Amino acid sequence: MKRDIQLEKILSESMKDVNINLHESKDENEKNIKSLLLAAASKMYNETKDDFCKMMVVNTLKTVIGNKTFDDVFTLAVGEALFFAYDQTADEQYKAYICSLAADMMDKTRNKDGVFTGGDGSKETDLSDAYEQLVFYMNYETRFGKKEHYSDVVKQFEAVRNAKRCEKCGLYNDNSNLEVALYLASLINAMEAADQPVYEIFAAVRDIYKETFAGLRDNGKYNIKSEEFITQDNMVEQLILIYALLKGCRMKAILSSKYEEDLNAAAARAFEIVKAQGRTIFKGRNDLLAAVMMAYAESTKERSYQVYGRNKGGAIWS
Amino acid sequence: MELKLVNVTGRSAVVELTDSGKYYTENKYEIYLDGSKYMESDKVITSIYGLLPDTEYKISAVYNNQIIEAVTVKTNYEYVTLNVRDFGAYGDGEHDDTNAIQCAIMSCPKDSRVLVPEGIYKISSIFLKNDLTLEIAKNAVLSAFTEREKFPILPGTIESNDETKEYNLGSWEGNPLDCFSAILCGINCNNVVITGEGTIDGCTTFENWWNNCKVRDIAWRPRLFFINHCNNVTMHGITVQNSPSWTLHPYFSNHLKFIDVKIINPANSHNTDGLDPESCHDVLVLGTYISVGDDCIAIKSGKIYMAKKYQTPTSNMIVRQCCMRDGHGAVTVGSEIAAGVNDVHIKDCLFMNTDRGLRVKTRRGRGKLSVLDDISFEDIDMDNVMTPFVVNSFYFCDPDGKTEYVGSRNPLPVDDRTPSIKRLTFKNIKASNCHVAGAYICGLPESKIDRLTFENIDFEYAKDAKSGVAAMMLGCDEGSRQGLIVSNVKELVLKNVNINGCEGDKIVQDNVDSIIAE
Repeated sequence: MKRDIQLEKILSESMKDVNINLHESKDENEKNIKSLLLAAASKMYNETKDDFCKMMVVNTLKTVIGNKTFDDVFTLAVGEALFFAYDQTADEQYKAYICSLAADMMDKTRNKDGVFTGGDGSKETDLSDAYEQLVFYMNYETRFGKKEHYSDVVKQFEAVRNAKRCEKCGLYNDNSNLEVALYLASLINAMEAADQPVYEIFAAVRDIYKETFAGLRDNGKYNIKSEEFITQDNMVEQLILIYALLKGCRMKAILSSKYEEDLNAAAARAFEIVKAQGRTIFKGRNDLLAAVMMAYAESTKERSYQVYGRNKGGAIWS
Repeated sequence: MELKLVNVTGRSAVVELTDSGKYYTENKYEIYLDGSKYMESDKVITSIYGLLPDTEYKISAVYNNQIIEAVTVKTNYEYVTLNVRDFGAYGDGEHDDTNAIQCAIMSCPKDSRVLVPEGIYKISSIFLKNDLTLEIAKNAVLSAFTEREKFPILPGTIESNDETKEYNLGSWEGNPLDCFSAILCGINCNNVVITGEGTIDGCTTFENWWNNCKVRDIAWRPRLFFINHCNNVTMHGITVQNSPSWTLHPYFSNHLKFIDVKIINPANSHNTDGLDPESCHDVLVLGTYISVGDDCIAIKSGKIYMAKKYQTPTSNMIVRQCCMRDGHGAVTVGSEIAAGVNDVHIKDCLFMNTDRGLRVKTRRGRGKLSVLDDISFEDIDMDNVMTPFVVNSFYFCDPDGKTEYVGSRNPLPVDDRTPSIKRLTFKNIKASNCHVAGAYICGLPESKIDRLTFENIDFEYAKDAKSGVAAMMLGCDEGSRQGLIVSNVKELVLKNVNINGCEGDKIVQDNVDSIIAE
């Protein structure tokens, strides 16, 4: 899709309205939404080169570091923002925090099968674990961990799948649409982070991604041509789903010839709703802002191999 | 001693003078065609060119004044010859002749040949087709461009429309990844012959394909020759040189012959393996000369994803009367062998100046389908090979190659990632001027090599034996004049093994369950 300057202006102004300070979150959920927003800002920067997006991420992290509150504030969910800040600034302190988070993650409790669980050992793994930590885990292993635990990353993803997926219908019935959308996003983001020459790792995560999408599609939960697919009420989860599936098309995890056109059309309907209402639609809705930014950034990415692949090193996600 | 016919085309025949040596005959001899002296040869496998199609010939020889009885040859029928110049090829070393040559190939009817006559033909990628004979004549050179933008890309995988299968085209180091198409490329072709005295030159230097070659740049590097799912393909007589990466890479292809081919890459070039059959069945390599910058012959079957999906080992392979020199390994099995290798026999060959003679390289992570079995090396002469026999089960390749999982010498649990080596046989081998060690054999402690046989082996060390590392694995120290170092083997058979000139113990064994010595 072509860039939409009017929409970008709304998003940019809406970002300025946000109190993004992570340490000023009232609870864990708010902190996670802000982390998602930072990740979305990094994606927006990659496509639009809007410096405000970049500085939003960098300055937010600097504030935490300056306040010395990072131990309480830096969770794995903010991992994507930390990687972005490191790439943009080459400041080694971000790498130090990434490694510190990784060390904490490896210390987390596991059950007897080696699967991460909650601190009390009773919580079974869930879809949210995939989004909150497994993407970070894959990124860390690729960038700094020498890929030594790639197999463990796959094992954790498989554990989530085995625990939560209904074998009969292929759906994740105990999870909300938002959780499933974030889960699909985690799978495609982990694929992006994997080093492709270790192909079996990349393919294992891809297989779970395809299977998850097939479950939605084959059980009537992917009625994308319907007007009800995107409404103001369900926009967060649907836009994150669109983000995850558009990215899957770009990375050839699913057939772009089959799905991309409808996904773009649905995204466009959502963007029209946003433009019709302006910034007010995002008042008190950082989650919606993040979802719109993620879907928009992905939808405007260059998708032609000849232009993108040849100039960017080859793979359309490189 | 007799003359045997080993190959015939419409314009050539290949004969073997049996029991006369290994690659080179002990003495020069004369070849007669219908009673007239035609040429001299110093090789066991000799190609005779300049014949006419659909014609009978009597080929005889005189060796050491002894007349070798003639063989009768009838050359193949040929319908038409398509000269690429008639299709617009310039052959002047400047114009891009790719389209003209491709046009001739696509126009070639059955039982005919496409002829590339003398000249230098600049090309990017040429694609083969069914029922084709492509002759590259003497002093003809297919000379490749080196600008990567000129090369099409073979996508690694393309998903089927019903989203249940995938179509694999490209490959890189055992994985289905996007790569540039080869200089000479065949996809789903049958009955192809590439023959002649001419040359395919990849023109690669350190300024182009060999520059920063470990990094993907748009796509992975092309091979000089790549065939994917092809059958009945013969490459005969030509010289292939200066390849961008692996030189000859037959992939999921069957019934292949490489006869009297010369494969030449600089000794310091990167990843320029000579011949890498990957997941192939029924492969004959006969009378071929290989001098390259990596392994001369590397027998493969993909990494774990491809192995699980297609379960296609390389099997039924014979390498005879070949000369391998200057590379890392003369004949290597691995490292991408996740689908296994079996029934491979190397015989009557000459290895010279290679780092290792017979080399097996594998590692944890190749998977339980990675089973190596029934691999033999017999009647081999080695000269100036640093370490004649190496079996390395801790090969530190791939992004995770230097992790604890791959390198640990402690037994790890056997699981789906554990490879295995069954039977390796080394027989009637003379290794002169060894340097580092006679043999360095390391199985996995949790999955030992089943049976390792050394029979009638002579090791002698060079006077000025150089120091080196016998195997590319963590913890293998530099050394020289070491004997046989063997670990993690169930049954070790040593029959008439003579080790002369080594320093220290002739045989150093660790975790070997049984030794049968004679």
